[in-house]
Amino acid sequence: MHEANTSKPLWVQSASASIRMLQEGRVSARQLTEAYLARIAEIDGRIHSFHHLAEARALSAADAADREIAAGRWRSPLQGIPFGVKDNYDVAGLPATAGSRLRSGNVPTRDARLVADLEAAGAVLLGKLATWEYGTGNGGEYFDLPFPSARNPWDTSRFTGGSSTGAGASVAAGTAAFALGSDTTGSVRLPAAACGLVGVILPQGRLSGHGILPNCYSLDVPGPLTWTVEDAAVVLDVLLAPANSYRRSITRPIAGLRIGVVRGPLGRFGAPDASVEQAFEEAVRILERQGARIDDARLPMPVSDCFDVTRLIGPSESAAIHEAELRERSHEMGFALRDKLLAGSLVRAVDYIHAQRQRRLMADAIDDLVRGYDAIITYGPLHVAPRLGVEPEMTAFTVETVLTPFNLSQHPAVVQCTGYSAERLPLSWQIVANRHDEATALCVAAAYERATPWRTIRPAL
Amino acid sequence: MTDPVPKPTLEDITAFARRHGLDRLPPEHLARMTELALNVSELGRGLPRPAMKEDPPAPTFEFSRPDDR
Repeated sequence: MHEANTSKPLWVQSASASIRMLQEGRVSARQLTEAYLARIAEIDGRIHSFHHLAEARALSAADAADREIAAGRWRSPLQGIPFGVKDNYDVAGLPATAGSRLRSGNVPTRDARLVADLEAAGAVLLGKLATWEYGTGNGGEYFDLPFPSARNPWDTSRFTGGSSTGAGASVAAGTAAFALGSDTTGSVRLPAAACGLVGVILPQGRLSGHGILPNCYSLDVPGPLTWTVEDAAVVLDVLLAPANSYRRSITRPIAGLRIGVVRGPLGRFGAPDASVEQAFEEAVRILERQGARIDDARLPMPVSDCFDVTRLIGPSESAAIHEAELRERSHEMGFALRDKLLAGSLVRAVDYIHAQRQRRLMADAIDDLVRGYDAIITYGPLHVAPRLGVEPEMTAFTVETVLTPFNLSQHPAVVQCTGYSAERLPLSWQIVANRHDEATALCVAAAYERATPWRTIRPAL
Repeated sequence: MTDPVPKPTLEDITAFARRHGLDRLPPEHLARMTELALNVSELGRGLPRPAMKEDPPAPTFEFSRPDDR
């Protein structure tokens, strides 16, 4: 648990610490919201985490939260906590461009379900966060979209990870206390890894996709990005209320848990960076010292085979979803989206069906593996955040990961920070649990987080 | 030894695009599609096929109405 530190700016502390300050009456929702807005004014010109700010709406929501708190009415633990959402989520009355000139002027009249739920819980929406166009990409950065590219707060010459680029940048830099992103083949977990955060995905259907611009019907899932595991637990508690209490789950000891450590096979992706591998092995030892029963395990297929299956499923579904735009307005798209849709238009239906058949076999085999343990540990991305726009680093960061197997298999997965490289770039790993047991993944992540100092270090912007 | 798979030509792709409603793609996008076509077909051909005809696809799409999700 990270205690509130009143000697530092409010944006430095975790959402959970802010919750405790609010509950103890040591800060108001307006003070918190103003602190984040001031932080945005101070640094967002350098990291470009937001596409659209909703300053007046946020202050109004904060004042409403304060009035209710003063009257003794607590809607949820997130009441008064400022957050941002990726710009592929609809919010009534706010621009919803999804980072594209194709959707310039699009202002929805409805809220995405998760946004509505968070606002009903009293959380304070700060605005819409940067995204790769349409919440997708091909790994490259082409600087051809109508918004400036988000920058990694740990090194602004580096990539944030995509496609939830602003969600990663904002939570790391303290321009939002937490954020919602979306993940098809890594788009929550990649920015979590690159920006040193906690990123969580759950199987499809657990968190509503209503009101989020679809990218791939069969793989898309929304997910939170947070500074701490406790923050993720609170967000999930609120979004899945009243069914869950992840905040209680994460205090459990991990002694006796059976954890499979998966180092491969990585197939043609080769080896992880030495810094990623070293931090991974040290993190395993930390779990072992807490009494977890560690076993070596292996994925049932090379991870690059899983990626190949997603390359047939994702682009073809995207081409179907965005067919009208490709037919009529391809010249208005950025290179990455257009390239994906052009390729997706060429996939044979027969190959798509075989990809979904392979997916089922892979998912069953992965499920057999995970069922043998309480949780498994894998690498996340094999590399640290690349230099923005520099190939082949960019594509290698996005492609060479151990993330796609669990998109295919729909297991809950948590990416978290495992330290920093010599260049002070975040390192990461992934914790995967059995379906409907994300509490165990969060529990393991929390135990690791409590044993390490990484959450006391913020980027020096 | 089998003959190498012929590379799609711009004419092939232009005809494909016209057949499939992509006739308004500008020439440079048709040229890019031509570059992509061989890789896409290799990816599809290279995908291992499940051994059993009974192996079904992953349960892909849910039947709930969008407002219920």
